[in-house]
Amino acid sequence: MAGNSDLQLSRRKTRDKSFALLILGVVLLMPPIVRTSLFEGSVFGIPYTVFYMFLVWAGLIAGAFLLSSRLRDTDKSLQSDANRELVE
Amino acid sequence: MLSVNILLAACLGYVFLLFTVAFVVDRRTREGPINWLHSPVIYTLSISVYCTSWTFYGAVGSAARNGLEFITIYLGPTLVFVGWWWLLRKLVRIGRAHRVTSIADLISSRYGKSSSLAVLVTLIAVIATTPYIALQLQSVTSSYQVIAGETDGVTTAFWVAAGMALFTILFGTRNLDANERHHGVVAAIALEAIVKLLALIAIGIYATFFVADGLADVFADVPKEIIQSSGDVFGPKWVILMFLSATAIICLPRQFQVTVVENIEERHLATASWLFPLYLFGMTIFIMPIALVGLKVMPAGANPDLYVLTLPLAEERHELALFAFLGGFSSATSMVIVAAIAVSTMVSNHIVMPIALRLLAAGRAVSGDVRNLLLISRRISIGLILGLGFLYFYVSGGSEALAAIGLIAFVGVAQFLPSLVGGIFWRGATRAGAISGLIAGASLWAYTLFLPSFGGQFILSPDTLAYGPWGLNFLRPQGLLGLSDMDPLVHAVIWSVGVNALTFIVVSCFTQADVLERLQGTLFVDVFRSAGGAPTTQTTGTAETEDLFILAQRILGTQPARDLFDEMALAQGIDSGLPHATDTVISRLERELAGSIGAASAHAMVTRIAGRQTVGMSELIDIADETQELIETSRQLADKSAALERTARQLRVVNERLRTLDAQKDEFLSQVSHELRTPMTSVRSFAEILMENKETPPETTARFMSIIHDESIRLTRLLDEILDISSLEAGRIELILEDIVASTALQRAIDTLSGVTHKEGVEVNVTGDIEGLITQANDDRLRQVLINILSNAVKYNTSESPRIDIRTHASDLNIFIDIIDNGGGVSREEASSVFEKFARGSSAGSNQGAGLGLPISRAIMRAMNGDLTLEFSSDGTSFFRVSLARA
Repeated sequence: MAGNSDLQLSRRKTRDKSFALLILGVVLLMPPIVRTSLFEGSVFGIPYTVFYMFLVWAGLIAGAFLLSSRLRDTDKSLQSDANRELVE
Repeated sequence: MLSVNILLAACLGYVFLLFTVAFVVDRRTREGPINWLHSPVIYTLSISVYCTSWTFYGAVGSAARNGLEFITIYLGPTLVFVGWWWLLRKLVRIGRAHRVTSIADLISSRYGKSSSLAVLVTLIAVIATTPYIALQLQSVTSSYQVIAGETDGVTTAFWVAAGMALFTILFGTRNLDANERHHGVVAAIALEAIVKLLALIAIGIYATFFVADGLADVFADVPKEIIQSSGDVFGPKWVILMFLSATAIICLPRQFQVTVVENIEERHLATASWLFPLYLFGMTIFIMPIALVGLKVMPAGANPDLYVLTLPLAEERHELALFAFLGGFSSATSMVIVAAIAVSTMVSNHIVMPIALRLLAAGRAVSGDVRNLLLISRRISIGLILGLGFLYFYVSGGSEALAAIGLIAFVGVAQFLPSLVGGIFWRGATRAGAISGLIAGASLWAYTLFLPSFGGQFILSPDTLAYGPWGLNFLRPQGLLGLSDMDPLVHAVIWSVGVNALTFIVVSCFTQADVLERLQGTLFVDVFRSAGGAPTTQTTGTAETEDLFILAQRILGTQPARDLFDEMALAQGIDSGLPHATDTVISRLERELAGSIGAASAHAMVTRIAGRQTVGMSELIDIADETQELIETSRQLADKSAALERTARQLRVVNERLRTLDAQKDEFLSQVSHELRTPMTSVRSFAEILMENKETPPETTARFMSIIHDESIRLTRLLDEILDISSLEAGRIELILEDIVASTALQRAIDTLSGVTHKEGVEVNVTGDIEGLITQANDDRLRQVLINILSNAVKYNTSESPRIDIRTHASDLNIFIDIIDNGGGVSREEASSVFEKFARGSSAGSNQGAGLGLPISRAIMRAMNGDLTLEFSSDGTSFFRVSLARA
């Protein structure tokens, strides 16, 4: 069924996105990329290095937040136990 | 100065609050599940047991000394939780499916429920956890001393340890429910998580906005060496610390306990994936400001590890200092409680119980309740762990060495990583590989990091540390094989985890897994694929239900065991008495027992009673499932391709017929044009003659005109016939059928032709008896057919005394009219072509019609549910048969 395969596709996309987010986090927080934060300067009085670290961190949290509910919907075992029993 | 009495009162009040929360929640849970306790927020808060006093106090100290480096400890877990879908989800699913009680249980269960592996993991966990507990005792003690002045640290630590032991024993071992969940403890931990977060944020806000003048002021004039540390902050140590913290959030026994074992619903993990990083974010956002403000404000000699406490004290903000103390107290106690539960579960399940069981089995003592034994062993284990922690604190005397112990413990538990991750993603991992990897890794960890952390006071002498054992420099603990120019931590991680992983992989490749191990491996690796994932059991008929019942009684308690067996008996349709020891019963029992004593012990016990160790059908089926799915898929593929082949074959046949029809159509068209051409030509030539020769005599003109007229009529008739046949064949003409008398229709046709027959001298005889039989037909069309056939019989009859015999007869369904003439008839060779369009009998003369009469007649008959056929009688003469459907 077309609807079903669309759903499958969007689920796969969500998983891919969450994997991409993980890779992005690792790359941004590991050398050598993390060294780009070493230049002088400050944002709102906060040294750029510190600002960069918390900015990436906040980005990861936001990304995980956006993806978590969609990921949760992709697997029926991740839904509430009560709901699952209804389904079964 | 904050008075000791107030401090003690606040402390005791807080502890009392924790006890009350745990007690109330525990009691309420017994009556039914508490909704708010099942929320993902509580789950996330309990995971924050990751933030111990090492975070609460130590992170500020670390930031003051090494700048940004402290943040790695929180970024690693963030990445693990952001990527929860790939690792944590699988761990939690396995933990739930196999009722895993601890990380040792999971690893041993994966490698064929190996008890030696369980013992090994347990020992490493105890060794790594004990100093960590000592660290918590020390932090509570020193923070107490900061406020209360120099008191006897050992006494304080002792009372803290004793209090924690009491709490853990009270709420951690109240019941031996399956799944090892401790609702009261979780609620208390969640409360502590909130307190420590709020306390740290309060101190941070105070330091940033009250002591300093906002963030810009905090960072003003700070040399970049302080933030980026004196060396290279993003060097190898950065990577190693990220790796270690990411590992620790999975492998620390207490983290495994709260994340996997205490997990109530898998979907809570989805919320924790962002909420836990957010919690860490909140915990760390003010670490740097506190450290920087501390460095500016506090006197030079002050210990940065205690800035969180000393900063508000120095500014005379006693209520804040008290809050900070409670925050630190919360971080320490929550860690101690959960770690004690986690490690004591392992010690009790994998070390104490197997020994006790062996003793019981040796004496064949069946009396007594193992449940009590189990509870006692759990309680003793908790006391033992906290006692060890206290002892470690006492012996090390609260030395500086403790400060580094957090990371040392991280590296210790990181040894679990290869076996754990390899075990759940790689089917080829074997028990021998896991054991040898763990032993190699743990030994190297002890040699390169743990023992040197005592600074030459314990086992390794200062000489050994400096010059290597027996003066062998290349064996120096912190410079193995000459790798000496790196940080001791990086050195230790690379050696221990590296050698561990390598040994694990290589040995796994060269050893064979036994049957149970392979089965468990498949169940773990494919946990998302197999529907059941029930733990494996070994069973064949010899299991004695009564023995199993006694065993269950001893472990679960008399009443729960009775309930369980009654339920299983009822499921088998037995009203009273014990159930039969079927696969299901034994597997269910083993699962229930595993929830209390771990898979390996449950397996060992049931095996002992059930006797033989063979493989149950259910897990073979589980494993076969995957193969089955593949077979099913390929079968469907084969079906599909067969169907496709059939369709293609049909298409070929249809295509062939279409080609034939197309050829026939071309043929028909060329014949039609040919037939039309002949009369057209004569019409045109006579018309031309008339036009050119004006002097033509009138009689000749009249003759020509009559020819043109005749030819025009022929043309019109021909076109009518062509239209008629194409309409009939395409089914465009609906013939109106009515009930008519067959013999009457025949007679009228003969009458119509009587003029011709009379003129040609043809004799017509009608025989047979169809008088009064009714047929369904169109009167005019039927007459048309009969006249056509009869006139053919007259026209083509070359006989001297022409005669037509008409024989009529009837069957149940049909009326037959056979028309037989004594003319030449049709030869068998011609038979197939007489019904073709434009075909004429060989004996026919020229100008005898277009040859459409027979095809039209046949089409009419078929449209009336009858037929027109050419038949041969026994003597070889041919005749036409008109079949009519009876009404």
